Parts: sequence; C-alpha cells; structure tokens
Amino acid sequence: MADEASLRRAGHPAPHRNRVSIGWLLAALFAPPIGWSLHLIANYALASHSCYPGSVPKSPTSPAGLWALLIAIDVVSLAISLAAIVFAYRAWQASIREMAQHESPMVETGEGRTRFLAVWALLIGSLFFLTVASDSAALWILKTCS
Amino acid sequence: MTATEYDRAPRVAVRDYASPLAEKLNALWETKPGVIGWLSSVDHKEIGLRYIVTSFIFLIVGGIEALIFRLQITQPNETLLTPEQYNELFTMHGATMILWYAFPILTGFSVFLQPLVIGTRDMAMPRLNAFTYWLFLFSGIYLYVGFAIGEAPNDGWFNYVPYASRPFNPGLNIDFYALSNILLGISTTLGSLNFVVTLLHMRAPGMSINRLPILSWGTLTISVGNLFAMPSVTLAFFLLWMDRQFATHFYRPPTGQPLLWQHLFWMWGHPWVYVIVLPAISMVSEALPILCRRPLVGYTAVALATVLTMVLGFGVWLHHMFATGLPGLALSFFSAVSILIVIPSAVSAFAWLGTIWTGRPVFNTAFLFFAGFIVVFVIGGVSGFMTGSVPVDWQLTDTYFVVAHIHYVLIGWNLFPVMGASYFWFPKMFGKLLDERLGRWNFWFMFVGFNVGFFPMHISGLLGMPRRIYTFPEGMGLDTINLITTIGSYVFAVGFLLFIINVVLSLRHGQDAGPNPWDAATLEWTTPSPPPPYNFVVLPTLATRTPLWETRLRESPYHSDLGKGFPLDHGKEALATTTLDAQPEAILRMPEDSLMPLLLALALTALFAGLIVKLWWLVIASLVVGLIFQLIWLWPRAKLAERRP
Repeated sequence: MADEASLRRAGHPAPHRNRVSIGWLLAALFAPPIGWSLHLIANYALASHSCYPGSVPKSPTSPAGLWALLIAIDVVSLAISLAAIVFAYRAWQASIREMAQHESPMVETGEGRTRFLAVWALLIGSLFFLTVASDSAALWILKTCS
Repeated sequence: MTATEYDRAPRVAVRDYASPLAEKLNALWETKPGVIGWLSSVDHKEIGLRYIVTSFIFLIVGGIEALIFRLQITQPNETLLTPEQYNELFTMHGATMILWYAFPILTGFSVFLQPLVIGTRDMAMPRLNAFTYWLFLFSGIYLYVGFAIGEAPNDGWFNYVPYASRPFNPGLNIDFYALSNILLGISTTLGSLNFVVTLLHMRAPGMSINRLPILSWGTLTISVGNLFAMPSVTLAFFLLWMDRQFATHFYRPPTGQPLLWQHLFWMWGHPWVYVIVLPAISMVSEALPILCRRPLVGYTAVALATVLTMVLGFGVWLHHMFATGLPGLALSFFSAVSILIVIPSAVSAFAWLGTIWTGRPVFNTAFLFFAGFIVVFVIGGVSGFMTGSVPVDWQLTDTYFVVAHIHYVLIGWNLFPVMGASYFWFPKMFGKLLDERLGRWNFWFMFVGFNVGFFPMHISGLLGMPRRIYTFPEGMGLDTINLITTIGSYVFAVGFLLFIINVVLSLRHGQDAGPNPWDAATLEWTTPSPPPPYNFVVLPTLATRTPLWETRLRESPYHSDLGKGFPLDHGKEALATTTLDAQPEAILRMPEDSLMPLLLALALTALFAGLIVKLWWLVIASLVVGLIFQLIWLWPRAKLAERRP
C-alpha cells in the first residue's frame, strides 16, 4: 500500500528476518528480565517472611529449607538467562551480516533490525545473568536472618 | 484516531511547503483562531508548548519556595519561618519540583518533538493528549489551592505514614496532596499510553525499531515504565485517603502496616526517578552528537542502556528503606541491583565522552549545558552508588548527603539537559535562536551556583546534619557551610532568571533560525521552523537513522526519501505502521479540535473538589456530567470512520 518506489529505495530494514524466529527472539529479549523480576520478588518475600519481624526467625525450622529454596529459585533464573544468551548468540551469528558495513569504523550503525534485536538479547541475557548471580552471592556470604 | 482500510490508490506528491497541497493541509490541520479555538486545540505542538510553559512556571514557584526556606537555614537558630511553615514549604518544594515540574517538562518536550522526530502528523490520540495536559494543569492548581488556604501538604514529598495519617495530621493538608496526586496519576498514565501507541505505531515508513531516534527511546521507555509504576502510587494515595477519611486500616496497626506505605510509594518512587531523568538523558544523547558533528558512539548500547536502567529501576525500591529494620539478606538483594544499575548508566556516560572525543564539538550554550550535565551526572551517580551499599547508607540516611545526592540527580540529570535542550530546540519551536552571549552567562551562573550550592551539602551531611530540620544550633561546625549553600542557591536562581530574560528577548529580537540551524540529521529538521500544523507536507520514508546525513556518512547502500511521499490529504489523516519494521499498515483518520478534553478534565477536577470537602452532591453531579462528556467525546462519527455514513 505504501509509496512502493520510496520503500524499494529505502530497502527492507530486516532482510535477514526469516533466518531467525521472531517469537524466540522476543522470548530471549523478555525472559531474562521477567525471570529476574520473579526471582527478586520471590527471594525478597521468602527471606523477609522467614525472618520477620527482623533478625529473629519466625520459625526455627525454616532457614535451612529456605536457603535451598532461594538457591533453587536463583538457579532457575540463571538458567533462563543462560538459555536466552545461547539463543541470542545463535541469532546474532545468523544475522551478523544483515546490512552492509559502513565505510567508516567510527560509526556504529546498528543497521539490520534482526541483528539489532539479537545483540540486545545477548546483552540483556548477560546483564541479568550477572544481576541474579550477584544476588545469589549474598546467600553464600550472609546468614539467612542476619 | 481511527484505523481505516486502505481503500484508495496511493498518491505520491513532492515536498513543497509553498504548494497548494500545503495550503490545503494547513486548512485541514490548523487550530481555529479565538479563545474557543485555543481551548479546543489538539495540536501536539501547541499542547507541548503549554506543558513546557506550565512546567517552567511550577519550577519557578518551587524554586521560590526553596529560596525562602534556605534563608531559614542559612544561619543557626533563625526564626524567619515557624516549623510548620518550614514543613509546608519544603514539602511543596519537593512535590512541585518532582511531580509538577520534572516529569511534565519532559512530557512537554516529548509531546512537541516526538511526532516530528518520528515523521508523523500528531500523537496517536490527540484529544487524549489535550485531556492529559488539562488534567496536569488542574491537578497542580488543586494542590496549590490547599497551599493558598493554609492546608498545604506538610509531610515531605514522600509523605510517610504514620505522620501522614489523620491522628497526627488532622487537617486537609495530606488530603490535598493525596487527591492531587491521584488526579495527576490519571494524566500521567493516559499520557504514557498515548506515547507508547504513537511511538510503536506511527513512525515514518522504514523507521524500524533499530532506527528509532535515541530521543524516542527515552520517552518510549519511561512511558512503558509509567504503566507499571503509576498504579502503585495511585493505590498508595487512595488507601491513605481511605484511612484518613473512612477509618480503614491499610496503614494503621494492628491490622494495617505503616511500612506498606513506604513499599507502595517507593515501588513507584524509584522508577519515577528514572522516569524524570531518562528522557532528559536521551535529549543529551540526541543533541550532543549533532553538536559534535558525528553520530552517537554506541547507539545500540545506549538505547539498550536506557531500557535496562528503567527495568533495573523497578528492582531497587528497597534501598530507600535500608534503615527500616528489614532483614539483612533481603536488603542485600536490592543492594546488589542498586550497585549494578551503574553499568547501563556508565555505558551512556562513556558513549557521550567517546562522542565528544572523536567529534568536532561546537562549543555553544547547548553544548556547555550538556557537558556540564556529564560532570554532575558522574558526581550524582557516584553518590548514588555509595548509598546503594547498605552499611554506607545506614551512615548517610536522613542526612544532608542524601539531599545533595537527590539534587545532583534531579537538577543535574533533569534541569541541565532541559536547559541544553531548550537552547537546542527553541529554534525549531519558535523559529528564533536564543542569544548565545546571554546563554553563556546563563550557563556559568547556573553551573557555578549549582555546585557551590549543592556540593557542600555532601559535607554537611557527612558532618552529621540531619535533613528535614527547620533550624540547627550554633557551634556544630555547620554555620559557614549552610551560608555557602544558600549563596550558591541564589546564584543558581540568578542563572535561571537570565534564561527567562534570554527567552523574552530572543522571542522579540532573536536571529531567524531557518529550518535546520544546527545542520542536524533527524526528521524534525526537515520541517520549517516553527513547523506547520500538519508537520510534514508529505510523509518521509527512511533508510537510515540519520536521513539528513546519509550522503556524507555513506551509512547504507539505501537512501531515505524525504523529497516525495504520501500527502494524505483526504481529511486529517496520518499513517499507521508496523511495530518492528515500520511498514505501512493503515491510514488513520485523526479527530478535529474539541472542547471535550477540557470539559471532561474540569468535570473530573470538580469531582475531586467534591471529594476533599465531602460534598457528595457535587461528586455525583460531576460524575454524571463527566459521563455525558465522555459519551459526546466517544460517540461514533462517520467523519472518523467510526460508523458508516
């Protein structure tokens, strides 16, 4: 329906779009932050509830089981980020030459929508992996109700 | 807007702003003259300017409040203000600056600029756009009515319970704050929804998601963020009002929890910090490269950093509550995120430095403000990083160190970019350049005044000066430092006064700007200055992120088409495009100017006026009238293709 001549001159912004599943790419973009959010809320709620109202455990039996549960939540969240990183890396490899390179190395064009989203997914997965891992570190350093 | 089937052969026209086509479009889109026309306007440029002017007025009012209470704490044992007056002034100052200036000013820039930078003719929902402005204005007036009748909020902008609860605060002070915030929250939520739809579905053909101007990433990010954050604070204020007026127990022990207020407030409050800085930071990322004569270093990373800062910003709210006695393990989760959030922030800072380092900077006033912003960005970021650590925060919380930090963030990260953006986009808004000589005085007064005024607060905080006190005794080593702080804040205010003088003089005698005075790269600079009511005589088609620099950058084998395109002149029409790749999807019929947004906002404000004084007949009458206005607004019309003719 568009001004076809202008669109032809402009080219399609995602010529490699068929090489990567958009559904999986969007999943790789959104799963790590969603996993991190659920992990943060669950960890916070469980850690707080068990130690309520402060540093005294609500139930003397809960901290040991709690620690294992928190670790399990972290492992699931880390696995989500890791899976997103693996998929994003493959998507990036499939679309790395999506648009012609610029003549000047100083200009980072980020051209090619598929490649752009793949790079984003790679970075998002990595950052949230690091964030969840940092949270997990606290479980090994601090007492559950410190 | 209404999407219609694309049911006619596409006509292509040539871009000519002096053609009969341009005259026809002008007649279709222009606001009618007269008071009724002015009140009915749904033109995004008109509404954007109203937002900007209103926000600056709130900034001046909030600034005057600060200048008054700074006099109270310039020297020990001062008696200029009573404790109650001091409480009201610092609360009004905080509320005005954070809620009625910092966000609306960015909304103003976004409402004016976003349709222009993405190559469309208006916001997706123009009447809603007007409605959100009126509601913002009326919510501010509502708040200040409380101030005028001696019932101003007095519990700080954070409004902690139990002091905000009725037994400790029996007047209407807190009710004015609660209800005005709910009113403002409606405006903010609807405005954000409008931005999301506009930026995802009305971009020029070819402006795929990876070509979205960095300016738009800021607005899109915080608009999505608002949709998640606003319900929390609106609910918080509603529950507080219920507790105060109907004796519910949401925050009252034993069944309620005072700490619930802090959770709900900061679940919104910390994301809000990013809401009021990310669009400003994006303005720097958009304009700074143009003044450095090169594209932004690391566009992909900077755009992602904007999004990630917002997302991580939802996971740090507890760092405002480190001293509330929550378990240490729980605090550590939020401490980790509060520290890691510096990663995306640092990405942007290094990108700006790289852009300046590898570019050829034009040292004008806008550049000075952006460069000054980078300096204060780092200082404010480092002090935030410090308070992200639980043990450090326990030492610093409720001291002037935190006051210094919040001002480095809110003035440094919001006002400095806004000032730079004003110098940068003023020519597009009014067709005149701001005076450069006066601009430099403006910058240096503000930059020196700001740092003289606010940096010493770090030291007074480290010396142990608590925040939110109306006076301090002598002999504590705080006398000189508070005097310097007050002097700095007055120098800063003089700097802002110079800006106002510059605006007034330049509007009258300023040099004509022409369409593209900075030799910029993006679509808004292809229109005349100021842009005509219809923005683009023909809709552009994009092949790169920098359409006006394509020839010199040789960025892509493909070429944008700015010289010809769709005129869409069968009425007020705009183009809808697909979310990811901005491929044309449908023609939209855009609504005419209307009084309904104003009338509905008035009805809603009257409803809230009835609520505060419990005038139930007024509440019911406003509700009924408001529903009638909504019916008129939404009634299907053939002209908008909402029903068959």
